[in-house]
Amino acid sequence: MSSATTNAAAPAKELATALRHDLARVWDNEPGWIGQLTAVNHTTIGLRFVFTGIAFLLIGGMLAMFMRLQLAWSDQTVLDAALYNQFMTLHGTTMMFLFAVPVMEGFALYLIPKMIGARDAPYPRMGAFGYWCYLFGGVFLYSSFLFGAAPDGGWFMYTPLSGAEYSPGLGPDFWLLGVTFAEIAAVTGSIDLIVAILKTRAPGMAIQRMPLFAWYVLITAFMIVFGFPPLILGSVLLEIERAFGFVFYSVALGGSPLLWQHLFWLFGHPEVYIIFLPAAGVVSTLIPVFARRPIVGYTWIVLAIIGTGFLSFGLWVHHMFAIGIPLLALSFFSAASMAVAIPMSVQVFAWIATLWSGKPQLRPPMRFILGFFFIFVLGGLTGVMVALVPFDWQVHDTHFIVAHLHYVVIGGLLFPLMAGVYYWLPHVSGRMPNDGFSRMVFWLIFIGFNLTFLPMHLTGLLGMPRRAYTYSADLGAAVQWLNLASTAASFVLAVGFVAFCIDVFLAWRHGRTATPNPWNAATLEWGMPVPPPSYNFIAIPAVADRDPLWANAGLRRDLEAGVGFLPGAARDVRETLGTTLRAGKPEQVIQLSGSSWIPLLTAITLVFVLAFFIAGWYWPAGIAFVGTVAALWRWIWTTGDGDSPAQLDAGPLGAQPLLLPTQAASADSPGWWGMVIYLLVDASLYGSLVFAYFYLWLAAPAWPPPGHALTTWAWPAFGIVLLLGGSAAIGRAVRRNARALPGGGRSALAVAALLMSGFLATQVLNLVEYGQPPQSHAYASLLYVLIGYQGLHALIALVMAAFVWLRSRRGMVDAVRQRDYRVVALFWHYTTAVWLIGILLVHLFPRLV
Amino acid sequence: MLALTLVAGCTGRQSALDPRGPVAEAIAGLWWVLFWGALGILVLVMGAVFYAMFRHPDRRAPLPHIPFLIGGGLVLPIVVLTVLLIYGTQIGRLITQPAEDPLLIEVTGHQWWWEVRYPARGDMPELVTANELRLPVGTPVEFVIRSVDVVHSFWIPNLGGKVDMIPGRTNTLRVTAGEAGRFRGQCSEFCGAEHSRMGFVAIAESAAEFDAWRRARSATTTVTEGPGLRTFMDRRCGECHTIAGTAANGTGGPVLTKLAARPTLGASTIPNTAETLRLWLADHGRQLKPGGLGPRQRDLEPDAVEAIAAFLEDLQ
Repeated sequence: MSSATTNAAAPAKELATALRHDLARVWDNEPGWIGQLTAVNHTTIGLRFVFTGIAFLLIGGMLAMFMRLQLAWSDQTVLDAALYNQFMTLHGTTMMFLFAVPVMEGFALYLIPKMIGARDAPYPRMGAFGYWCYLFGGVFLYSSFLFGAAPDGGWFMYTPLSGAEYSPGLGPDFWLLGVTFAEIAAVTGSIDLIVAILKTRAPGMAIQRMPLFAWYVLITAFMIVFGFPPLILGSVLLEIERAFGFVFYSVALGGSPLLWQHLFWLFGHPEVYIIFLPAAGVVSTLIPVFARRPIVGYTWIVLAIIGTGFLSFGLWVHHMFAIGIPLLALSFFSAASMAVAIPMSVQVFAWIATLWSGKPQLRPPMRFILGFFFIFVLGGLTGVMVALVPFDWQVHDTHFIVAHLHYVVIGGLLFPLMAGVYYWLPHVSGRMPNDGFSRMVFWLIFIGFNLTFLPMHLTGLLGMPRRAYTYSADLGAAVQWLNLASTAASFVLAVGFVAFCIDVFLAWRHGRTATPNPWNAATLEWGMPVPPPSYNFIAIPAVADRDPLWANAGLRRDLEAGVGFLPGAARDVRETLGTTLRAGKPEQVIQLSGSSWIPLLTAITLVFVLAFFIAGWYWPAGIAFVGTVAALWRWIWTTGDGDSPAQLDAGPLGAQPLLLPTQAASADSPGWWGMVIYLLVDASLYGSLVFAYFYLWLAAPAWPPPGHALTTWAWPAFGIVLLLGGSAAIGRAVRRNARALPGGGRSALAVAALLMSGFLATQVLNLVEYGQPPQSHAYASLLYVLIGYQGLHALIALVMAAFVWLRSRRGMVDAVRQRDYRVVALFWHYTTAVWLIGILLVHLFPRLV
Repeated sequence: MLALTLVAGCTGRQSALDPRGPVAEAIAGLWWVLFWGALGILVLVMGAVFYAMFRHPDRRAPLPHIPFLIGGGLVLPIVVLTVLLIYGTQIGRLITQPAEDPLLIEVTGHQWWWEVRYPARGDMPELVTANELRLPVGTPVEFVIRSVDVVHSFWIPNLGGKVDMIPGRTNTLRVTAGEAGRFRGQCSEFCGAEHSRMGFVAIAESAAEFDAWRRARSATTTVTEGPGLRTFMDRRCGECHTIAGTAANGTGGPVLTKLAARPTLGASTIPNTAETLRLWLADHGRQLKPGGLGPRQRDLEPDAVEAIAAFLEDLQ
């Protein structure tokens, strides 16, 4: 190196050090337990999801070990029926809701911002809030044991068994409230990740150049957006039915037990792909690294992922092949269930092609990928088998299905997860895994797993149903011996998991120190020091390739020197770059929240709401909910930086200034996009309610039923006028504010609020005129839920209008920083639309048919 | 060990791999096709994985990417799945064909027992029993499937697939017994505490034997007194249980007419013997089937047990 370069290098290094110093001051968590409770950084929260998920895996696994002991031979009494049914329910519930989805969400939250070149996820407090809801939801669920009321209706909670008549205790309520609470994390996580992937990628990272893992997570997040709400709705309806006597699922007064099944499986089928796709993303990330060449068929894989996402919503009835639906309808779902194997095959063959054309090396993570191939493909093949209706009619609800589901879940999720843990261990801890130990872990788990679950294919075919706490010796000696073998092998599997945990722990503490990119990987997360700093990047790099670290030899040097956009943290605020959706051009400076108590406190208010509710103290629950609303108000009030200027320089040091709007002044702010994605969730929830309405209508002899006469046209017609007036007023408010007439904007807000309040009054009067209590028939219950749901939206819209009014008064909203107005207008128009649909459903459609 | 189990273990009283009727046979045939096909595909894919992974890169055949992706990822599954779909749909249609004049048997699911009713047919009167079935060999049977409480599922693996028993809905299952035999059926939709102990015995026999059985079962004798009947009625058993020919006409629990002729007690919980009957009566099955429903006061003193047992044993 010439002296000129050395002299230039020294100030550059000093500069980088100064930038790092600033960044650490702004981005590091506070010290001590206060820091842990207030942390919002995606690295911290992501790891927390993973650790908590693994903890629930172990708890769920212990429940399974007891189950296996009970089933080791016929007619055993290790667990009685009551306890077994509780263990069986909690095993499934824990694995599906408290392990599988959160653990991959943790991986995604940790990795995505790093892989796409961002400093943090766009909603740090929401990520933290999601974690607390997940943790508290899981604890709430398990606290049911303390009250002797653990749920025992299966993880799928079929009605009428889970209704008030056949499960009179609090078990199902713990399930419904606890699981829904934990599900908040999935929804908030998906909003966070969608906006992260679409709007905060590094400059130059066009959407067709982003890492495959980001595609997998993006599609998964959209699947959560559309797939979770049916279950959330179904759960809310069941809880209302149990607590207040409404009618949705019980036959006597117009309900249908099959409505639950449809709502549950509308969620349940996409759920399994939600679980699998991020793990497949891990496979797509690791294989090119260990094959030492870029992935074959990037575009094919992206299309396959999108195809899987869409197709998975058309399969749900294959869980209901035995309920007596005509064969023609079943054939459609059978065909769709088989069709989903096609995008899966595309991925498998792309992976094989990558290995084939590369120079593969068998490092510890790769061993688990090979195990994944065998187990997942086997599980996929039995899946094709049960997609055939006549075959499913024999093996449905037997241990054959138990075998199938464990092959696809353990093969498709757990093996890639373990591969991912070994692969990213050096990134998280700065230390390498041990090849010898990890090989032993692999073989223990692989052999233990196969010997446990392979026999179950046969015991199912030999007549052993699932969810059965025991079985008769009449089933034959083969069934007894096979079960004994399964139980014995399950101990090997259990030892394997414990060994995995110990191995990872020891490697974390005592493993060989890792070099920054020990696997010679291509993606951006390996461009930073390991373990990573809290801010990820000294400056946001420009990226022009799918495999940035392979394509650009100088990238690592640039990253270390802080060459890039938004260098350092000069303004003492956490910042990352917002870019355009398709091409990734710099578009806005996004200011992010630092550590805060708000997420934890908001989650705690929800704990009180649910605890009071399950105790039957409904007024205190309502008061606690007011606390939640207050916390949310404070939360949103403190979003971004109210004092920041409308524009900031985001350019690299020493270059021309690149003035970009801050998020309040950008048309594509995270606030806006977050509302858009949230409204998709809301629409899916409302759509499920509309589905329920039509489903129960179709099953009813008359709709409305006799004695539930429709009220006159007057109220709805008047209501529509007020409603549309309100939306018009909001539109005017946005325009007034945009034309620098804040006073005019505020008056229009007030007019809109008045019209909406008037509208709500008409709806209440309409309901009073209707006169029938909700418990009298499913029609009445649906009417109340529709009006309640739509009314809740109207109340939220009113609160939001008051919020914007106050913000405008304080000067935090103006013609340049329009975000608040636009976001509220969006929600307001959505509320109007939802009400209009509701009015059509109730007043128009029955009159037409 | 697995091979030995496979050979010896396919047969069984509740085995889908031991078909005893045309419906189950068709499905079993489908299974073996699926099994060998899946095994073949698994070997093919794993072979490719191992070749790609372990064959030395210099000695590996070069791979044209797009043809490989199209061939393996699209063509192979589309062809295989289309063939399977057509085959599967044909079998589905075959096994659900309604017959000309089937024997109707109504089975209604309760927590945790089976109400069985043979409607009157020709000169045969109606027959109501519980937890047992008989079928004539070679006659198409149409089960009329209902439930009074939660979702159950009706399944006789040796004869065919299952169909769910859903409150508020009537479903149909069509099977024909191809040969005589004694088979087991079991509830296969989780229905609560004693879901595991909700089974039944299905006996297939020649048409003549079946007719004889039906006639014998329908021929009830009227019993109006006796110490056993008196104890039975005093203890209010008749409020839940019906015994044809007596004053007992309750409908909450299983019909006990001709109880002594049934193969099992408690819906296949235990075989029906003198000893087990008394064991059951002593506490109305609280030990044998703890979650099972029954009277609030379950325990019976030994004299009452003996009296009722003797009475029930006479019901042949």
